Amino acid sequence: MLTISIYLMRRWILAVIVFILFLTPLIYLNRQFFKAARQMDAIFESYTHIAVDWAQAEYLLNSVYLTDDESRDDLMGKLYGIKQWVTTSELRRIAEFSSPDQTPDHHFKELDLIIAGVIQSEEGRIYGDLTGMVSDDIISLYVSLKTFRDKLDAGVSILLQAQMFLIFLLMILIVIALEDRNRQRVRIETSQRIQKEITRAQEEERNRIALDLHDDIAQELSWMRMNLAKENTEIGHLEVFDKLISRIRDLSQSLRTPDFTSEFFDDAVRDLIITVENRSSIKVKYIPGNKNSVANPEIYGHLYRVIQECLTNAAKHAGSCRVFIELQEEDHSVFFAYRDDGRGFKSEGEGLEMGLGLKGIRNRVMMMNGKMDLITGQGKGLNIQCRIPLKSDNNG
Amino acid sequence: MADLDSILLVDDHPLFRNGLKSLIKGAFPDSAIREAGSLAEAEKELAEIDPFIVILDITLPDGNGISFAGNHIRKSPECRVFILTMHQRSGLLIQAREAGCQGYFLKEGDGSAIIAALKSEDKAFSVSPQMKDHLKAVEEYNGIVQRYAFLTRREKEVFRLFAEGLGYKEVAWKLGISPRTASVHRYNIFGKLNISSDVELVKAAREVGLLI
Repeated sequence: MLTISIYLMRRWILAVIVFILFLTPLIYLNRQFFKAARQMDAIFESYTHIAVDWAQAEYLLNSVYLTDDESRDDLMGKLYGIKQWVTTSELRRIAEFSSPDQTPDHHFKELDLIIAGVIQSEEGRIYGDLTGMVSDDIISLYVSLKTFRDKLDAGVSILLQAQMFLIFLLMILIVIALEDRNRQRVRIETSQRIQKEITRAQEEERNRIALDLHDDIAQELSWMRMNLAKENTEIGHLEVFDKLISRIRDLSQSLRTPDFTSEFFDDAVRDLIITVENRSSIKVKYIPGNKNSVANPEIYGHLYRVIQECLTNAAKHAGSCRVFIELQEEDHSVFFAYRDDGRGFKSEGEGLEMGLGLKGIRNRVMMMNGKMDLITGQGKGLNIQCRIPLKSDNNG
Repeated sequence: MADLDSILLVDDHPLFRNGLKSLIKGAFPDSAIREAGSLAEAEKELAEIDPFIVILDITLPDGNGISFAGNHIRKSPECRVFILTMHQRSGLLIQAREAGCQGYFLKEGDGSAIIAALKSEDKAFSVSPQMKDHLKAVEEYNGIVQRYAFLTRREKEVFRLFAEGLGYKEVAWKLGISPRTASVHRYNIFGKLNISSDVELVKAAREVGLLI
């Protein structure tokens, strides 16, 4: 089960790593790209203005009225505007990016010549070749701008696709993880149900054997014992008989789970304690608490077995020690506490390895959807605390 | 008035009944011993005679011997009813005692324990040697110990700390509650355990088993 949960946990971690490693930079890139696209739109708009300006400037340059001061000022303004615009760093970067071999400065050299010419008030028509070249440059600028914009758009669309893909991947991972968790839950529930069934069947079988031993065999034996006494049998035989009967009675008691629909829990536990105390060197103090075992016979049946396991465990492994057991119902739960001042063991893992019956206890607590805490240490005794929800709580 | 010479044995095991019968015959030679294998038969016998001793098994084919004993004792309080069973269970011991039986014996040994009890004039509740621990445990479970069961978990904690000799403030600090709440708990504990002083509180803790 632990492996499964680690496996599952890995999957969740993987999902989170994918998200952080890929999606976060993508989102950053995305923002940058959209910013660039917005800037690009602005540049295109200004390009349109410049193209119109140049068309007017070209017309003026080619006209005969260039000597007119007013139109010359107008022309100069337009030319300076164009010059300024084409030398902006953004435009230069874009042009370099789309066609690295031709830089705008290089192209718009003619513009400088034209400006120089206009300043020196040279007569029209001499600009013919130069204006043609500038027009070409303007057109080629449009081409490089368009190329750049296309590339940018392609980049944005790839980015969007990648994002969609990653989100899709993440969703698939989540779905798989959820599915796995669900399947695991079903598996655990099934195994728990099976275990419950097995335990129930075992208990029935044990109760049947206990009944046979108790009502049949022990009964016959005690009858024989009574008759033997009258016939002056050897003393040793009588002792063996007595021992046998008491052994069978103990055995039957340890096999049987009391029926808590009709018996009181505290009485049954007290009997258990008396038997264990007579057989071993442990001293048990049972501190009864408020409880209603008749309403939850199944849970109290398990708890009875848990106490039995604890006591058997203490008698076998803890050495001679004092044991305290407390049991109490509160807030729709049963609280069970066991502590002894016996030998203890290094850790719970060691306890499980040593087969100290802890497994049985843990299984039973799990079967009841309970929680169990265990504190121990070498020479520090054993301390077990359980909280078991009651039926009315389980069903909501 | 009960017949001072008739005894009724109720047990569903005929051989065991025979053995018991001869045993009692040895102890009470003048008595008339009647037998029954079930509660129905016992009912029939009781309609004819009024025995001064009834010996009952618990698990009988048609019912529980203890409840039958209770009914019979209510009708004829003079009759001494003894339980003779295989069950070594304190729950049944308590039931038998509450029903008004005179003794609770296990089918064990040569039967000398129950014979001794039958002969004894002592009206106290008697048990077989192997049930002595059970009787002791049952008797210990009364008074304070029984009332202690009705404390809540928190109250038990508070009770333990007070029993260890801590003051209000220390108890409150240890449990993370206000001294006022601690004093309310203490008041409730005193009420539930029916005690009124610190000395009684320590005594109660010792009785319950919290202090050694």
